[in-house]
Amino acid sequence: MKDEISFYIQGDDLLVCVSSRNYIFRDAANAIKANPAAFDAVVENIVESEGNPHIGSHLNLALRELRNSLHHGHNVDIEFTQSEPTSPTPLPNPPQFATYLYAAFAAKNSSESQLGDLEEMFVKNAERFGETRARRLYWLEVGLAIMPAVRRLITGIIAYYLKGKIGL
Amino acid sequence: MQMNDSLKQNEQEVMLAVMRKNSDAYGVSIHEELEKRLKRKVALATIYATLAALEQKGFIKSRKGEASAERGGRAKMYFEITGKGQTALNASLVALDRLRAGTKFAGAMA
Repeated sequence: MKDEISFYIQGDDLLVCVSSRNYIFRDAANAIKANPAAFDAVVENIVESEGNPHIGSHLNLALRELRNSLHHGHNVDIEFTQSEPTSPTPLPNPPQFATYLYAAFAAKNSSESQLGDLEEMFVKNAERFGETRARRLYWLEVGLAIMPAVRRLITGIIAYYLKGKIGL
Repeated sequence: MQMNDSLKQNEQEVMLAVMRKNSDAYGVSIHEELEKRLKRKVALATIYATLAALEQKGFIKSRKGEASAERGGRAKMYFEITGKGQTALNASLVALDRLRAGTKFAGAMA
């Protein structure tokens, strides 16, 4: 699995998040704003280290390049620290029974990707509107999707029953 | 044009959304594109049914993509328009343009 890397300016610091780990480049924010090339050097080095378990050494290398880039014109003291690993926030789970119903009624060849779409939308809706509304919207999508199949099933059962009654 | 090659309005909309998303056209992205451009809710089930009908007509083709944690580890299904699909969509839109040309909306519609 590849590392996801994001950058944040936090006060005077540059915060680099690699998967669940945070790396802080102390007092680097202003220097980077003044010299975008320094930021590019950091990005380039970290991106190169994607998937590398020894990412710390790459970050140190990035820091060295950052210092070199800032050597002319910027006298800043940059300290490298590595924060404790933080546990990633668990993703909310969609209603299991709705998922089961969808899987039971959807076409077998496409149900896997469609359930993935539903789950992705659920996660986005949970972030945007909260989990309760996201669950309601999930049920609504599942209901709309399975309604034709349920209607066909009920019609079939009624037709079968009536044929039996009439004796056809 | 044969009857089988004609396009309904929802088929035109879905095909245009697939074209707009280019190489990133899958269920959720098509859904978001339609809601953004049409400014109304579109059910995912409607999109899947339309995509299935279009694929059966040979207007679009699908390929399996990558899985991700936020999708519960399930792979995406990407869609793209075939040459036949582009021809049909263009013909359908041109026909609408021809029909619309010269018409005027009166009163409150203007």
